[in-house]
Amino acid sequence: MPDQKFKDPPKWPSRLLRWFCRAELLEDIEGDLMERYQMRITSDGLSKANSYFLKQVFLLFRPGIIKHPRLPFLRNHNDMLNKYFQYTARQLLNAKNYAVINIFGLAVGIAACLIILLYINEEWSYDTFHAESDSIYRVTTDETEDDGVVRHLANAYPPLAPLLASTYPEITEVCRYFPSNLSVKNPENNTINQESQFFFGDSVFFEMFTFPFEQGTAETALDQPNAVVLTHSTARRYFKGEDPMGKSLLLEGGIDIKVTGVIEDIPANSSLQFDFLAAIPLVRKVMGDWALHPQHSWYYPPMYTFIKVPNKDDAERLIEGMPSFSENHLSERLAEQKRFNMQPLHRVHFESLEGDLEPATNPSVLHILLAVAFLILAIGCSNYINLALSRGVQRFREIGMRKVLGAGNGHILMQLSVESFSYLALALLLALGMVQLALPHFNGIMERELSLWTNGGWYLSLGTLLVLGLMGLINAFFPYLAVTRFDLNNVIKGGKSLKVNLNGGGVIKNGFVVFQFVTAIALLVATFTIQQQLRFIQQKNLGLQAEQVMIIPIRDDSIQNNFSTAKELMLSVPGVNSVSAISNFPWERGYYNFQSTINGQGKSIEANLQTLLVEEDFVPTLNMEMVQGRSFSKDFGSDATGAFILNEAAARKFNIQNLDGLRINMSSINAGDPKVGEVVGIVKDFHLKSLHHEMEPVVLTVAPQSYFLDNFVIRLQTDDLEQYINQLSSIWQSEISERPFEYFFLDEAFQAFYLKESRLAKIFSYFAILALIIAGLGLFALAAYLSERRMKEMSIRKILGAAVWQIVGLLSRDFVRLVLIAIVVASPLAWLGMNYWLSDFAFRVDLHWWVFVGAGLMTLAIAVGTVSLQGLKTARANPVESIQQD
Amino acid sequence: MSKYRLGEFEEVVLLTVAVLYGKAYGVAILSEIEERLNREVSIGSLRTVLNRLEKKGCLSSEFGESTAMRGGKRKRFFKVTKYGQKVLQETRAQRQQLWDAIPKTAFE
Repeated sequence: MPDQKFKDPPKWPSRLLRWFCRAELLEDIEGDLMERYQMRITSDGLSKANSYFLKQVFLLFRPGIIKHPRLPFLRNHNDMLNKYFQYTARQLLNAKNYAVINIFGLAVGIAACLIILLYINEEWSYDTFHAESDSIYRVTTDETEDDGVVRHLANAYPPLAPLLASTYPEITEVCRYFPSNLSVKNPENNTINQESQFFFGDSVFFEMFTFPFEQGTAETALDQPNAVVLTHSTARRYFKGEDPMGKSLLLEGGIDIKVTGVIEDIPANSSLQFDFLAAIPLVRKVMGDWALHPQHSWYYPPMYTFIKVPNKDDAERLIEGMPSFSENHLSERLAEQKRFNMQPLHRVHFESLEGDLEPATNPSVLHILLAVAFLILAIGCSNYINLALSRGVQRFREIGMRKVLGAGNGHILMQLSVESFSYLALALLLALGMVQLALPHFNGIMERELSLWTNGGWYLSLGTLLVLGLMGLINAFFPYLAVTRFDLNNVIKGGKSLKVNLNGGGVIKNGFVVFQFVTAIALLVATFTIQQQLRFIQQKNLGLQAEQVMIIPIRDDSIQNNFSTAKELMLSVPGVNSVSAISNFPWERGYYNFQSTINGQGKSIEANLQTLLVEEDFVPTLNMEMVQGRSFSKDFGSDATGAFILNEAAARKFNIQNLDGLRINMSSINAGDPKVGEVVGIVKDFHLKSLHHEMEPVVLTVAPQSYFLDNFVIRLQTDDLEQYINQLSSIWQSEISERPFEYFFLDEAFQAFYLKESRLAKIFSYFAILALIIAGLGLFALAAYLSERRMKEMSIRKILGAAVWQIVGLLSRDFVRLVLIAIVVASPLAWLGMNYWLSDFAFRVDLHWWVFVGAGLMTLAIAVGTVSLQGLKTARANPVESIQQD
Repeated sequence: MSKYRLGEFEEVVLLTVAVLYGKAYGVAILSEIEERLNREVSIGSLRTVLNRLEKKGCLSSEFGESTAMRGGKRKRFFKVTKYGQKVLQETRAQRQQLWDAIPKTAFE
């Protein structure tokens, strides 16, 4: 050995080595390393020796040298695990009611969560099933009206799509999609129906969107100018099992179309829902050549316009540049009115735009539902944890004993985990059963066709398992924390400090109880408020009587041309009280807007008037109330050419107190002369839009020509509705029109405005009830254990003369306090949430204090009821029995 | 026939330990292999093999003296056990058998 000074090798590699190397190998390995290191210094120099040393340390990092990782799950615990399952089974059988409450609570929570997740999963999957859905966008329009009001429209206009395609090479495909309502006839078997889901699309439609073909091919189906593709069930409706390929169908006006393909029925999570998809050149035949004219169709017809941009960067640039497109490529006049935007296909379902395909889903509603479902789950978990904590005395002795016999904290945690996961597994099984039972009902409310088997994707299952895993750990961890924090001696001896600890450790427990009741109360308040608002809406005086009012859409020029004949015919049906007509209902496409001047009483106001074009008998048919003046009448010949009725809102807006000499000059309604005439009356404010909207100033005037009137409005008698409808139908078909007889009732249309709200009300009421049931059950079990623990105390009190009600009071006092705290916490939260929800309505109920008090009292009653039930049991027990034991 | 079959490197290490009879500890084995067979061996791979051989019963080991060069750490000396000896001999016999079986003309 050469004599030389010993040099220390680099510090951190040695430290690393010491950390990972097995203790029994460390000494000689380190010695060898150092010896080699010293040798290297002499032969190669210090820096080479250092890198050699480092390399050797890294090469030592290999199995056989590194320590066995000391992780509990790498050790073999199979036998112990078996035991844990045995203990769990014993626990479960020992306290059956406790287990039932626990498993039931957890199962309800899981089931609620699963149903909501299924629903949300479907909502989020909207329009994502197309092969290239990521690169499809919709072009939407912001349209500025003459009065400066901007409307956000879901559609664009026919010339835009070709213009975009020729301007931007990044856009590889453009496709227009246009809804229509046509009658379709199969000439072979005379099947005829009015089809409201009849759409037109460009020939690339089926290449852009993925709808699997049963017959025909996506690439060629729409190549011919008279081609039409049917969905499976539509084909069945028209061809009854015959092969539809190549067959003819007749559109109204005798337009011949040829079936060139049949696709599978459209999945529910598609925004594009159609029964027929016809080639777009047919629009010319149906509406006239102007409909697709590159200059003349910039205002009508509105067409949904989809574009495909495969490159993400291109798409982002286009999205930015789209608003300025109209300035650069359209005439000045058009550019002032229209601005275009691009919306990714998967957003179509979530952004609420005027004239959209389907009503959009508000994403915040989904978030609220999700939050509520998880709250229910958390209530179930709280029950589990709370009951585990309160069963303390028995459990603590058992666990103390285990520790004495050598169980480490890891073992205890493992045992508690096995227990909590077993409960969860049982709860999951139960929950799946519950979901299966509850889904049809849920589907009924939400109008869906969800099922556990077709809608539960793998990531949903994975997500559920993850959440359950997390829950299992949380459920095991809280009892574990409580158990392991105790002094072993006390646990075994059952000394005084154990009891102190148990009662003092109630902060967590009380916290959970408060949490449960906060949730329950908040949900109750929400349910009450939503239902109150719905009732308010239903009972609100709408300014017109919508019940028994039947609307028949007129889709036929010939009816309009013979309007008075048709009216007389319908009036001849017994039960028909009056017949009138209106141009359109403002909830569909808003009002007509006409530039007008209001003259008289020393003023002259220029305004853009929102106008409804009606028939003379409209006001009495809807039982609207005149505040001043008279309604239209045939007796005044001038009414047909120029007479106006304002609503109160319009009168307020233009500061009109009386009608003396008041005249309106309305610019041409139909390319003819301006409509000039006097204001004959003021009508009480009436609602023809949902109560989400403010009352708008509206002017009624008689339609100058009957072809403006697109809807019959008919008031029927109440007694035998079905018979009147049948008679109307037969008269319609025999004498009025060849078209199918279709109708709806005005009050039903109003109800449909609040579909979202009434669904929400139902879902919330179910959730509130579930929350109350689970929380109540938990409280019941909790009270049972606590009163059991205080049995002796109560027995002695009773012997010393305490009355039953005093004992019940003593036992319930703590819980009542918790519920009171919950009321205090829940009220402001619920108030904020509900105020936010109500802000969506222009006409809304006020949040009354008694709603909160009501929800609080209801909860309190349930809590006191459950607890005092237990208290009574304790109080009425024979005191001797419990005292005698020791 | 012993059940345990030696790998090539195991055989080299086992033989080297035998060569260094009485003086076979980590660094010495390394140097010997490097010198005789002209191959680079890391401490890690050597130590794993030594471990494995010891576990199989081919080697035994005990701590020896420490030196200043080793930072005061003791050396671990390895010795071939009787079983190790048998394994080595068997391996050699097998090789020999194969050599013997080669026809004379094969390598001409």
